[in-house]
Amino acid sequence: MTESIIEIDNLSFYSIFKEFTIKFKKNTFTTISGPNNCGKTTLIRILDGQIKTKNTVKYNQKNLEEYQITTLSEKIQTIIPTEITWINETIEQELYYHLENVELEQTVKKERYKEIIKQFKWTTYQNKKIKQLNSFQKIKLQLSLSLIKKPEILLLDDICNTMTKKQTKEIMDILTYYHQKEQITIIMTTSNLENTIKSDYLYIIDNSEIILQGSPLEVLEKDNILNRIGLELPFMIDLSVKLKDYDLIENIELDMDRMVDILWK
Amino acid sequence: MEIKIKKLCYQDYNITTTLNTKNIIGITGEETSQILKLISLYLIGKGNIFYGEDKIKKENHSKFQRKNAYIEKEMTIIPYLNTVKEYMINFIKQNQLKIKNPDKKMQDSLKIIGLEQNYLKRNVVELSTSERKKIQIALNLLKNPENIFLEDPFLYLDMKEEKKLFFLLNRLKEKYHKTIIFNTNNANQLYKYSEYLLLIKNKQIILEGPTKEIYLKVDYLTKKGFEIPEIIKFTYLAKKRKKVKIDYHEDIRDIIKDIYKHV
Repeated sequence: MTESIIEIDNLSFYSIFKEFTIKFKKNTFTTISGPNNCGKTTLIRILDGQIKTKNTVKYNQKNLEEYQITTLSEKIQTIIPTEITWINETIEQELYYHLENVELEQTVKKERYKEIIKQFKWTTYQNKKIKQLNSFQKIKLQLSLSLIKKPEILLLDDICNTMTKKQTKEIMDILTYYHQKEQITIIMTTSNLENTIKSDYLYIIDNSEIILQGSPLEVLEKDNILNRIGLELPFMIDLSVKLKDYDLIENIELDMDRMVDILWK
Repeated sequence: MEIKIKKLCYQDYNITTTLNTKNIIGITGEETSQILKLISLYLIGKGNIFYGEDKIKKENHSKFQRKNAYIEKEMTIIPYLNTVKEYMINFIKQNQLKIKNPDKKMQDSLKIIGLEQNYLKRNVVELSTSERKKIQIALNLLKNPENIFLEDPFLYLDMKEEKKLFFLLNRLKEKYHKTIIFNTNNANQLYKYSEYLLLIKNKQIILEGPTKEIYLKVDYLTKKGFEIPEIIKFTYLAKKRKKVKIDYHEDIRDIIKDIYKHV
C-alpha cells in the first residue's frame, strides 16, 4: 500500500470538524466533495497550514508545524480562486518571477518556462497583461505558477466552479498530465461531482464525517446517499444507475454515444 | 409590462430586445454581466430603453434604477459592518429609502426569503454561502424592486440549496410579481429554471425565445459554441443516430420510462 503523504489526524475545529481523520496517498489524485458548508475550503486551509491546528496535520509523517514556512511553500502549492493576487503586469513576467526563488540552474528554469507555455497554450499570450485576462485564464495562470515550481502536493479549492465544461476539461487534462508525468499529489475539492470522475480516489464528507470513499465510479453509484445529502449526480452516472436498476445496462457508461449504441444496437 | 431595448450600445455591445416582465429570464454567453447591468440601468449605454411606456432619460434614470435590484455573484463584505441588521440599515441609508417602520420592513424582508428573525443578529462573515445569497436578496427586497437581476445566482450552491433558491425566486415571481433576470453559462440550470432565454455572442443577442424551444436547436447552438443541457443532448443523439421515437423531457425519470418503452 502506498504511504500517505499528508494526513489529518483527529481534528476538531469549531463545529465544522469533530475528531476528523483523513489520509492522502502519495502520487494520487484525490477529490473531495460534499454539500455546502461541509468544510471543503477549511480542509484545504488546514492542510496547507493557513489555519493552524496543533499536532493534527502530518506531512511526510512529521507535524506540519515542524517544517519551515519556506519549505512548505515550496513543496505545497495551494489555489483558492477567491484569493488570487498578482505582482507583475504580464504572464511572462509573472512566470519568471515565480521561478526566481526556486533554486535551479538557469537552463532548467528556461526549460520549465517553455514547458508551461506549451502545456498551458500560453504561446500567443506571453506578453498579455494579466488584468486583461478573463476569470478562467486567471485561474489557469495561477495553476501555471503553481506547477512551474513542481510542488510535491497541489491543493486546489473548487477551481473549476465557475468554468464551462470545455474549460473544465482543459484544466482536468492539464492536471492529469502533471499528475502522471511529474507524480504530483493532487488534492482537489469540488462541488460538482462531474469533476471527480478523472481522479483516482474520491472522498464525500458531510457533518464532519467521511460518508463515502473509494474510486469515483464506486462512490458515485451510491445515488441515494449522494442525493440525500444534497449532491447532484453527473447526468451520465445518474442515467446509468437508473438504467441499471431496470436491467437495461450492466455497467456505468460515461460516454453518451456509447450509451446510445448499447441501448439501441 | 415590457422592457424594450433598441440598439443599446455600450463599448462593443449592441443590444435590441423586448422582455416581458413577470417572467424568469436567463442570459447566457460571453461577458453577460455587462448586459445585466445595462438592462438594469446600473450601467448607462447609448440607445433607447423603455420601461413600459416610459423612455429612460437622464431625468428619470434614477427613478427607474431604484425599481431594480442588482445582486452580484458574491456578497460584498463591508469591513465596518457586522450583523445582518447593520447591513440592512446601511442599505436603507445608501439607497435613501423612505421606510415608515424599518424594523418591520427588515423582519418582513427576512420572512419573504424564509429566514427567522434571529438572523438580524447574525454576523454576516459567519454566514454560509447559501445564507449570504438569501441575505443579498433580503437586502434588496427592502427597496421593493419590480425587477431582480442576479449574477450567476446558483454558482456556489449544491443541488439542495440550488432548488431552494429557485423556489424562492419562483415565489417572488408568482406571489410578489417580480421579474427575475439572471445570467449563467450553466445550460442545465438555464433549462431547469428560466422561461425565456437570451443567447449572447460577440456582444449581441444572436437568438432569443422560450428556453425549452431554444434548447431544441441543438445543431445551431453547438455550432455557435453553446452548451446543451445533457438531458436534451442525450435524447437528441438517440433520435438522430437511432431514429428512436423518444420525447424531450425535463426529468431524467421520464427519459428512463421512454427508453424502457423503446428499447
